[in-house]
Amino acid sequence: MSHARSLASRLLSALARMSPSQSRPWADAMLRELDFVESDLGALRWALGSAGALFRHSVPHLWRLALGKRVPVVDVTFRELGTKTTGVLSGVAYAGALLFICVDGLARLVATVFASSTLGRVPLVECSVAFALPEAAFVATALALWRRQKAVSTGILLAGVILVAHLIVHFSKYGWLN
Amino acid sequence: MRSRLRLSPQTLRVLEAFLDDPKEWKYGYDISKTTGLKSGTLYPILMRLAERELLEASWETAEVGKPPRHMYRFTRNGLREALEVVRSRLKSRSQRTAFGGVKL
Repeated sequence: MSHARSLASRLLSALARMSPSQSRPWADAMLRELDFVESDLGALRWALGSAGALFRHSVPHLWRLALGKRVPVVDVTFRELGTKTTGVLSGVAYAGALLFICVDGLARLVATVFASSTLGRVPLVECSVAFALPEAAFVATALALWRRQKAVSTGILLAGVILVAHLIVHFSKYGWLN
Repeated sequence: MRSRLRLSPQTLRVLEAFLDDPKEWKYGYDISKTTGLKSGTLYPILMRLAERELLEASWETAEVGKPPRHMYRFTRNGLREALEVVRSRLKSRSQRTAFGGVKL
């Protein structure tokens, strides 16, 4: 069995074990179908798509459990809630990836440019790369997506707010641009 | 009360795939191949149709040593609704063609 197929099988098996009872038969069904997907990459794509579908199906049930079934059960509302949660999480993941790229870029910049020169570090440049650049990208992307993907935009803005809060805490503890 | 089924083009494709042979049980991967839909699109549609009792799902009686497969087919109600939907789509399509794309 190739690595891709083995990964796909493990992913779906784990999801089948972790899924709430309402989603478990579907998870098992997706896992069984995996044996009939011809190509190994196709099997991995099948598993990833199935994982997304299972997540969207499970979220409403998990919300229902979390709320102790106190809320009247309206399928459509819970399904929307599941879709929105997925959207917000996608937004947060996008923002996290962008922030990682910026911080990683900053680390490389510091390592290559400033370490070899006599200039020393420039806090304003570092702050711009690690904070202003991602924040500007977050706001621009959130505004661009707002009409079509409100949930994703909300996730991106949420990540932006978390980053600002983190910086406020950082600066209040260590001082401005230290 | 249940809300109306959302008839996206993908849902229509799935309904049409089942209408090819309404009494026959179909497997998830086979439907995916017939409709060209990925698992992430196909299964939410199957789940929605099953929850609305338009589809019935069953585990195939497996041969010894082989795990069973999940299979699906229309319920009586599902078949009726699917036929209505497809008929109304065909009707509106033919009206649009007859009037040269002018909205009535």
